[in-house]
Amino acid sequence: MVTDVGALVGLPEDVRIEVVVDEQNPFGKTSVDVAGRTVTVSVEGGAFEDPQRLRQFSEANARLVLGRLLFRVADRLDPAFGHPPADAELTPAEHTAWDAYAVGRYSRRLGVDGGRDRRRYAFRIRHGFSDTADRAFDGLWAGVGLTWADIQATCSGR
Amino acid sequence: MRRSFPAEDLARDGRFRRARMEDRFEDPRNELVPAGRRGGKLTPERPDAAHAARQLMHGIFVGEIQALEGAGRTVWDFDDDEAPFALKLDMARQCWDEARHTEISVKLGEWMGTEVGEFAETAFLYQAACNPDPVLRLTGVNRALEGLAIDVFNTMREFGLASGDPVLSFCEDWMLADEVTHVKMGSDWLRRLTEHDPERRERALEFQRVVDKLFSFRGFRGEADDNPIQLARTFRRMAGFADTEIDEIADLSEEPV
Repeated sequence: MVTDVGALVGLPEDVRIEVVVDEQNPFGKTSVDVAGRTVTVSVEGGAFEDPQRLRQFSEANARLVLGRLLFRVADRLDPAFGHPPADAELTPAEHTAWDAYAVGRYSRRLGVDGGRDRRRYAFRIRHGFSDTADRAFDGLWAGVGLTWADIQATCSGR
Repeated sequence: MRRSFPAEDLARDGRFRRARMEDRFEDPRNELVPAGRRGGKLTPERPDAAHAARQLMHGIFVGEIQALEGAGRTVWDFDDDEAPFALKLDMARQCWDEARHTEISVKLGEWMGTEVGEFAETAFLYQAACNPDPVLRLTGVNRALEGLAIDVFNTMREFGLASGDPVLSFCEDWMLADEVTHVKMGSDWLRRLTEHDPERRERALEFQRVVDKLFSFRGFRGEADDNPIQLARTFRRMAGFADTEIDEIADLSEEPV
């Protein structure tokens, strides 16, 4: 599945992806570490869980999570994107902005909803409940060829 | 029309899926979560704030459906000797409130990007409303569970205020006022129906304590920063809880089940 999602996202074939799942953890925190051409995706088990079936794996959720994360990996590997800090150093506002850009692309690539409304809600919590924030979200969701500077500009607009 | 309606028979369409409370409480991962990794108080500062708020809102939504179903059963399940007509009238009024809360909760779910049935539903609230003694039923539901609703709604109201969400804060504040009334109805009927029966009153209060303890389990509710749901002392006082009762509920979060 990881290889499949990586291909859908457009990751080069020489990129090695390792997924580490903490199945003892019910929460949903995720992070990615990119070291050269090796990518380590760390996931707390709840992120891949079916919210209707406790402790059961949800392939749909897992694909959506991986799609979001691997689009961000693709951005990190693209010299034209810029040089974002490591995931642990991103602010919550930067996380939600970048996620909106990533999930928007994943949704269009696969022709699925991708949870646009819940992404918008998460974005609003960090960027405000306003028409300005909603327009910023819509721009990220529909964005193509954005750079890290574009995402930072969205965040500084708050 | 039958007088006993089990939780398994509640009407739900294909979007809903039932989970057991035991599965949540007995989740083996609960023992393995590292100290300091728990969710903590529901505030916008939490990294998972949006998801936690959406999940809690969905829990409120299914709780409102069950509260409507439970209050509706109480209107029917007892004859006038077991429960006075005036009590049933109060329950009918509560049905009206809970139906409105259900509608509001659906709209709040849409506002937050949550689908109906996105999260599993546990039927504990309705199960508490199945108690065959109307006094225990009212105490368990209207004092314990509606008291929990006061805590939850206030937590969500404060979350809405802190995150700048005008819709969430307004709606939670509006529903919170109704929950205060529901608790007062429970308190008033407990007093009236057990005025000459202290043993029955004590059984009812013990049932309330059992329900309160279940929802303070593993620190879900309390007054510390690592409790996701904060005890709402001011609103509980408005609903007729004594400070000693509130202190007892606060202490429950520290006790094992």
